[in-house]
Amino acid sequence: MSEDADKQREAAYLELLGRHGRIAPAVARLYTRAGEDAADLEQEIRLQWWRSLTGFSGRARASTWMYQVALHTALTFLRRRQRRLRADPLEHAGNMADPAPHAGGREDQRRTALHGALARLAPGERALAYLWLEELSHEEIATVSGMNANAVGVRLHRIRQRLKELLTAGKEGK
Amino acid sequence: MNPQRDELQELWRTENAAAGDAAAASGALPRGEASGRAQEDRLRRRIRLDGRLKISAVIFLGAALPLFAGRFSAAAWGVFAFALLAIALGVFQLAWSNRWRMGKEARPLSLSLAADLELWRRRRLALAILLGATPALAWQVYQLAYLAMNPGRSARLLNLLFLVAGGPVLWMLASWRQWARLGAWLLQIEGALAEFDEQVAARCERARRQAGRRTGLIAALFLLLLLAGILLFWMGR
Repeated sequence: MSEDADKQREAAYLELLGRHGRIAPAVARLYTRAGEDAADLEQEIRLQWWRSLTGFSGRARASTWMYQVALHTALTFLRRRQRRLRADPLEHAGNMADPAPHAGGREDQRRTALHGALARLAPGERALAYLWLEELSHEEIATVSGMNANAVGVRLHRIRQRLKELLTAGKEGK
Repeated sequence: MNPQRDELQELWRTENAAAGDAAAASGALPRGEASGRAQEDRLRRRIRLDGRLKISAVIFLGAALPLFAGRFSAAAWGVFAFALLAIALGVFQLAWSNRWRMGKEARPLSLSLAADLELWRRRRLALAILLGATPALAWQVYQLAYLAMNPGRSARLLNLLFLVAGGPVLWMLASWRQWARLGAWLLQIEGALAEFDEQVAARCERARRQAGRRTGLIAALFLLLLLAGILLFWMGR
């Protein structure tokens, strides 16, 4: 590859990262514990974006492509650790990366509870819930996941109910 | 923005506004591309390392040549044949893994997971056989070298048994172990895919139960082989 092509690729990557880079830490937080695991996955997602950039034709929206690559990377990342987490979901929920672990306000408690509830969902459901939380339309979620839009609507309805149940149960438990 | 936003979406949005700023601020090219932590990277590194290990038989071959000079028995020829086979397989492993494409394609999740599953299913048998061959080849070269250096012991039943059955059994078990390890990862991909495709879900559940039984069986057979080897060695003394 020529030097010019390298520079173009680098510039395109940095531009995409500037616009949608927040996807990497958000997805890493969804699928890992706090600390090193999350940093590893975040780094891996960025690496996959970089490697896959040459194959990205631009026909899809850049954000759609970045969600696809990030979630694919997360769903197939370090499965041994995920097996361990599956064995003890409560521990996972309690240890998930908290964006503001030192803050004790009501808002922070709600965020921690939301992350805890997300951690109880199956990995695929978590991906759909994440895309919904990111305010993607059913059609966009269908494009990222490969499901049809009707099936997405049905699944999301169930997932939202489950999330609300988990959050209510969490509140009552306190 | 969306006026119908759910309270959970609102909560998520406020949290991610700060995270977004931090991500944009840390924008940089990924470093250490060769040390990716995805399973594909780990497998590639393992097959490359294993390939180099096989090629290192050339060192053994170089050292053995003067020792066997003047007494080229069948066992000595066997040492050369198995060492050359190891080197050839090692070269093949390096060339093969070099051709693996490591990026992800712009495809929906269900399709990209299905493509991953298909790709690694196709590679699974060759990977298991190649990785499983390393301990078996090492054993075979060691056994033959021992017999070439001690021609008088070739007639002993124990040595013949170790030579004829040891390598193949070790190869079979080590390959089976690799097969099972790869299967565990494929099962996990299938598990993720099952959440987007209900037909895959039922198949996945069956495969998960089979994998549990298989892992137990492999461990038991390895233990049995070890005990049989110790017993035979003890009886042959």
